[in-house]
Parts: sequence; structure tokens; C-alpha cells
Amino acid sequence: MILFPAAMVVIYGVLFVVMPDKISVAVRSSGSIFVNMLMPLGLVFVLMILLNLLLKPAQIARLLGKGAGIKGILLPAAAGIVSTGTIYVWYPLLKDLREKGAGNSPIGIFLYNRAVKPFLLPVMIAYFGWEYVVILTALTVLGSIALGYSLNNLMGGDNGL
Amino acid sequence: MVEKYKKGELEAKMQTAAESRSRGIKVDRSALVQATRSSARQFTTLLPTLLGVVLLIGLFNAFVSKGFLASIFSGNVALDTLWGACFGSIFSGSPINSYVIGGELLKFDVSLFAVTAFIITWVTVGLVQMPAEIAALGRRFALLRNGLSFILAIPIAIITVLILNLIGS
Repeated sequence: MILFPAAMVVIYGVLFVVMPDKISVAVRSSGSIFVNMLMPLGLVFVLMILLNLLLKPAQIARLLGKGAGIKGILLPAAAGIVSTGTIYVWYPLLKDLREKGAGNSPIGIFLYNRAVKPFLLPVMIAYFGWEYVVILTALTVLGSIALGYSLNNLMGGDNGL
Repeated sequence: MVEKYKKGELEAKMQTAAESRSRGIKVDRSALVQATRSSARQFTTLLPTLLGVVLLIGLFNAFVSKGFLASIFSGNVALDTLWGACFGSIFSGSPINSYVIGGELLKFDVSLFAVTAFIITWVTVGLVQMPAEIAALGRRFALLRNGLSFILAIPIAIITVLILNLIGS
């Protein structure tokens, strides 16, 4: 985790000796990006606290494999959207749910909707604007439904639709 | 005597209610502290890589020319979107890194089609985490899910930008 930023600092250090002019451009550029990110990052932190206060992974995991029809689509989508943390944390939970009978469709929908991160929206909006974020989010959720449906047909199984 | 007793009982009841209210406040406070600690942990996990990405973009801005990127992202909508999806599939990590990189690529005149596909596949397609997904969910599921996610990213990226252009944003 620390290796990558440490490597970047070393590279900056080396290049500062060799090409100080270019590195001062790089430093100014990085500094400007970081300063512009501070407020959105602050909002991200607040939203993280709210989500961690309101939702726990076990509660989210219970949304998967629950309900047929429209519930079988909306609940996994909601679960994917509110899920936090690295995907490696979720794989064992998903495996457990699969063994308990959760279908391919809800798992696929969940994984696809992990692309939608409400607590990161301040940063996304800062870069791309709210209209872009709304459109992309809506299409991502719709895309996840198409993915779930396709997965079920290709893997074989109950769509739950 | 009865009144005194009732008063005493009443005071006891009020004291119990106050205690449970204070217990309730303690539980909420401890939940808030726990949530804050958990968020701080997640945030500190996210921050080093994000800082590394910011430093990398700084280097990019100093050393990479627009011409170089233009040689990859030629302006052809379909090809640019495909390239964006390919690059996003290779990388992984918090989506916030894809927003930062994507936002900076836009300043290099890389098309929004490519950047959008890049952002989508950054999370939905995981070549790096494929072994873990195969181990957990099976080879067929992992390959199909990632393949379908890659394919889906392209029309989603194109439609997103087309809608954005339509609404004049």
C-alpha cells in the first residue's frame, strides 16, 4: 500500500536532481490537484462515517438472495451501491451466499453496482459535473440488470424476474 | 405514606428512564466512534495510493505530451472507448483513483467516451482480482462476468456521453 507512493517520492527525488525544471512543473501540478481535492475528500470522509454508522456488511449481504422479481434486482443493486471496502472482503461473503442458494444474477448485479459509490460522488461531481454523474449512475444500474440477466441465461439458472 | 411511596416509586421510575436514556446516548456515541474509527481506517487505506496517483499525474503532466496520448486516443469514438475500457480493466483499486486519472486525461484532450469507459471498467472488470474471483465464485462465472462487464462498458460509455451532449452539458 505504501510502496507505490514511496516509489513515486523516490522517482521525484531522483528526477529533481536530473531535471529540476520538469519536476517543479510536476510538483506544482500535483499540488494543485491535491488542493482541489481537499473539500471533496472531506465530504467523502463524512459520507463514509454515515454509511458505516447505518450499514454493516452482514446486513448488506442479507440483501442478496432475498426476494424474486423486481426485489431480486433492486436489493442486490442497492447492496452493491452501499457496499464499501475492497472486493477481497466481499468474495468470501459472496461465496457463502452462493452456497446458500443465491443465484448468479444477484451476485453479478451486486458486483457491477460496486462501480457506484455514493460516498465518492463529491469527487466525481467535482471532476465531471452532476449531470454526468447522474446519467452514468443510472446507466450503470441499468447495465447491471442486463448483466444479471445475461449471466443467468449463459450460466443457466432462475432469473428471479 | 401511600403518596410518599408513590413519589418514591415515581422517582425510581424517572431515574431508570434517565439511566436508559443515558445508556441510549452512550450506545449511539460508541456507534459513532466505531463508525468514525472504521471510516478513518478505510480512509487511511485509500489515501496513500491516492497520493501516489496524484504524484504520478504530476509526472504525467510534466513529461507526457498531448501528442503521445493523441497517438493512442485518435478521436475515433469506437476505438477510443475500446482503449479506455482496456486501460480501466488493467488497473484496479478505489474508484476515486479512476476519477482523478480520468479527470486529468480529459485535460489532455482524451475523449469523454474513453474516460467514461475507463472509469466503468476500473471497478467492474478485474483482471488483477480475477484469481480471487475464480477461487470464490468459479472460473466460468468470473470469466463470463468480467467479459460481459467489459462489453457492457462500451455502450454505457457511448450512451452516457451522447445523452450528455443531447442535454447540452
